[in-house]
Amino acid sequence: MDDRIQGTFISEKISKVRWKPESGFESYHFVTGSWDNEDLNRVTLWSCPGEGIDEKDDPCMVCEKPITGDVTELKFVQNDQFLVSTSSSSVELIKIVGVGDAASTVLKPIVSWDKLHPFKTGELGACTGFATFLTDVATIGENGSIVSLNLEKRQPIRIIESADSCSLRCVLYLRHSEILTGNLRGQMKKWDLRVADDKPHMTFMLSGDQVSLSATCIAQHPTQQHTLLVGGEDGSITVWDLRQTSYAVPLAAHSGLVSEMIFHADRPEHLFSTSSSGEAWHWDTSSVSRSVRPNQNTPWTGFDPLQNENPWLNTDAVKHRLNVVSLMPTLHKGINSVDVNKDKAVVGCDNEAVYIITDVLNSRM
Amino acid sequence: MDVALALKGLQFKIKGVPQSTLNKDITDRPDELFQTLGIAAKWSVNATKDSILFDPCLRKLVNESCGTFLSGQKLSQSLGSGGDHAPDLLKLSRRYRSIIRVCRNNLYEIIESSQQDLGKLNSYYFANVLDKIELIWHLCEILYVDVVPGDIVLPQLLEWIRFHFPEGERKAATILETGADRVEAGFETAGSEKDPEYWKTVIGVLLQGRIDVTRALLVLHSDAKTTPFQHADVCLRTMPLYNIYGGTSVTVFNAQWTRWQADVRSKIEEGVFESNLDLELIMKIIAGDVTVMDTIRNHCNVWYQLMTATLFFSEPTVKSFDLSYHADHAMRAFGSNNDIQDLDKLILLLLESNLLEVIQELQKTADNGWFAVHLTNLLYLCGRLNIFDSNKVNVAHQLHEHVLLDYGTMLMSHHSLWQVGVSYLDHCPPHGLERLEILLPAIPLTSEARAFKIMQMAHERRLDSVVTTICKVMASKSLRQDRLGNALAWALRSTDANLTNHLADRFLEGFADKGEFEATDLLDNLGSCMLVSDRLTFLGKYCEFHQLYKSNNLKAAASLIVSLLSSHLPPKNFQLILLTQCIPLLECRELIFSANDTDILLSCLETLETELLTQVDSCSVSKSLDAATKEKIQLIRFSLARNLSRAIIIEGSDIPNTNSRMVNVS
Repeated sequence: MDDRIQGTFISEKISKVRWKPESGFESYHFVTGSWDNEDLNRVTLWSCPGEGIDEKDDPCMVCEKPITGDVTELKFVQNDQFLVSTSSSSVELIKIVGVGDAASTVLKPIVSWDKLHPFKTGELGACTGFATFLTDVATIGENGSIVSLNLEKRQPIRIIESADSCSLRCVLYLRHSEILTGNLRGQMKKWDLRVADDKPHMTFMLSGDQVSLSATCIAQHPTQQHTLLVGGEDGSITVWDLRQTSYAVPLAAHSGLVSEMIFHADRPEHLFSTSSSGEAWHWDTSSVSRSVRPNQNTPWTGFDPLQNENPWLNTDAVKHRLNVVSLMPTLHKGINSVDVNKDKAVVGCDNEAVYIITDVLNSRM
Repeated sequence: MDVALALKGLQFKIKGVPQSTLNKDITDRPDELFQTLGIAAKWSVNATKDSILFDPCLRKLVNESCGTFLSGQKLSQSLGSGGDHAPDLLKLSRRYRSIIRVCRNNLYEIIESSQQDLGKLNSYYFANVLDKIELIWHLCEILYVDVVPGDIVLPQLLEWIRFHFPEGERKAATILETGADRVEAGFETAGSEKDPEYWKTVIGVLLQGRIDVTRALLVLHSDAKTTPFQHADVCLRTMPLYNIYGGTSVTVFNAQWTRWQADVRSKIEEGVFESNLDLELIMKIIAGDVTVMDTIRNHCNVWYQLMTATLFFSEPTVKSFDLSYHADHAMRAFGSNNDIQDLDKLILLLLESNLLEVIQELQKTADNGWFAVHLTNLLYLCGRLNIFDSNKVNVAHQLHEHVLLDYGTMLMSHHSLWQVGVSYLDHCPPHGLERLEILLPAIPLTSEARAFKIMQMAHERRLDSVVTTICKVMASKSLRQDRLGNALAWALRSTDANLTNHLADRFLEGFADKGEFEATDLLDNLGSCMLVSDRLTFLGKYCEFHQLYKSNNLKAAASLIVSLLSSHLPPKNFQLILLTQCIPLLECRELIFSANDTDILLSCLETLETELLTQVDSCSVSKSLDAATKEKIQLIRFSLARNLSRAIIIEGSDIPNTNSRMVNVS
């Protein structure tokens, strides 16, 4: 493997991996969540060797906390607080205390919401994911319900009991109080959480011919929020323009289920996607975006900026200019998660390893 | 001899070998402790369910080596196409060894930091097993993977001994260091012989073939400038060392060697070294004097160390096929305890090139076949695995496959490592795929996420039956959880007609009970999926009817219900419900059913009634239908009759065709 890739085996399969945010500064810590362990899974805080230290050093474990059930989603809500959802139907808010000193750092549970997604039989269903918007959280479950939480309240704010007759697989906040869910059959539903009746105000199928393929993940363009990317079970990525509800053509992308897609927080022209077929890709649209960005110094070129500024909505036209490169050689096991911070990416895989990839943006310009 | 230079070489060598001396307190008394705790200290224990492979630290070994294994398989595809693959295979072997080494070092780190005695002991035990695995792997690499031209193996064997018994070199390094410090500090001589270990160390490094270090150590002796020492240095310096790439043929080298040894021997006889007994002993060793055999033995920890040491001074150009003879000899000379340990047995078998027994022995080791499978695979790739059965047929392929199958199956039984197991089963055709077909559906489907993973694996391997089975299991699981919608979603994926029929019936039953459908979000969006089974097609169409009805598109709703009733799709018990639902349409102000349609409905009703009557006849005593049904049929018939008359009149007055004229006439 190449020099920029540093792999570390951590003895458990990783379902989620996230950089600890540092208010826009470079991060040297990340958190992993594991799945499929026999008794307990774990969330673990890792520290990466920072500047001045030999870059080739493996990340070291700082501290860990056992979790019942598989970790299904993990997201930071503040610099030192993250939420973790589990297949045992709960969501927990965890705080990283004392990160300055590795020896005394602990992962301290703050609030836990349990039994969020029970089946009619009383059995607990997995919480398959959640989305956050400021202090609001919307969780979804295998039982097809949506639960709306607030970080400051111990009781759920609202429960939409039978939001979907199938398992919900992914969720996203479109704007405050408006969420989008995707289910096992690729049916997408838009919900307004302020409206009292338990009905979606829009429904569409991921693939036009209603062949039932699950939606697996959703990503929203950070700056052009009407652009949505939905990953599918077959490895395709479908781009939706929320302003028009017309059917979108899926991009044939990965060869297996798209496990995660993430836009670079500071550089939205970069997208990262991973798949269960072992691929981790970096989609660089900067060459496309740059060529049409209205520039004050140059005269009007005749391009319609609204039409062309977003390469994702015009993939047919810019397909040959979309620069897609592999972050790392295709792995023999599935890659479950990816996160990017500044110039570093971290991916978590089913071969029980995390890979840290440096220079993700620079070297490819 | 330049002390600094020798020192540099040594430190370079010693770097990377962790200081196991730090754990001396444990290493000295492991057997005793293992016994008290009831843990077998033998490295070969019966494979238990809780394999040591499942220890968190060793899981790294499992996963990392799986990646190496797979790159080996990729390499094997290019093996047939010619070219020299020996360097690649050697790299592969080294990578395996480095994985073992990293894992072993991790274990020693854990031992040092661990507070618990039991955890410490376990880790120590694992590290001990890994140490032995690496020792054997290294020997295999020398004998079978990294084959040198001319088959002169001794230099590599000495390297092997040095690598696994680094204590001598480590001690030599400290002596050299203190000696060099003293010389630097301005002392006339280093006087290193004052170190009680001095002579032991000199002999130790000499027996491991480090002539340069031996000379460097001798220089540090206070008498280094005296004649005997000078003579000794000359002897050592002029010692011919065989170099494969040196250009000297073995015959020429052997002649040089004999001449040099005779020279040394004559010097000893002349009494040149008599003034220093230790020095004389060293010279006797290099002269190959049999009288010092006992001394050599005392300096060796194990018989194979004795073997390489004696060979170095008696037959430096020994070929690998002669090794089994020398091994036997050395073992007898080393003697002392008669019971042969498993490790000794393995080394002996390797030197005898008895690979079949080696693999059989390895499968019994405590690592649940990890070592056996990877070594077998490597030897197989190298083409060194040639095992013949009684009919002289090479069964290497079968053996290889068998070992892979065993290991893969073992991993598949693990809660989390099953994905690794699949990788091994992938590479033992044809039985691997068959086994996967059995084992994949047997993995418990604890969550949908897991089901997706297994389905994907099955799909990639074109095991469609497995995909179907998983979908069916998920469907029945959903059904148990009272989630009809989700059950149907999974059933649709399985495209199993019986299952979807059953589920469609459940939906219809629910509708008959409650008057509304469950999971309408799914039923309204069935699309082409509804064609999976007849009953589902009916269900889909029936939902469509309700949608049309609700949206007040009555004409379309009516024609749909007519086409449904005239088809064979509706289940018998549902026909009456369908006809009942026609009543509001029939009673609309506006005419919706044409005369033709009404005719069809009427005939449906007649057929249904006769059928119901015959059914009642056959199974019950009463000869008439129950009152409710009777009333319903009556009502429908009445509506139909009224509609028919309306239709005939309206159609007759609107459209001037023959049919209507006839009505007018009548």
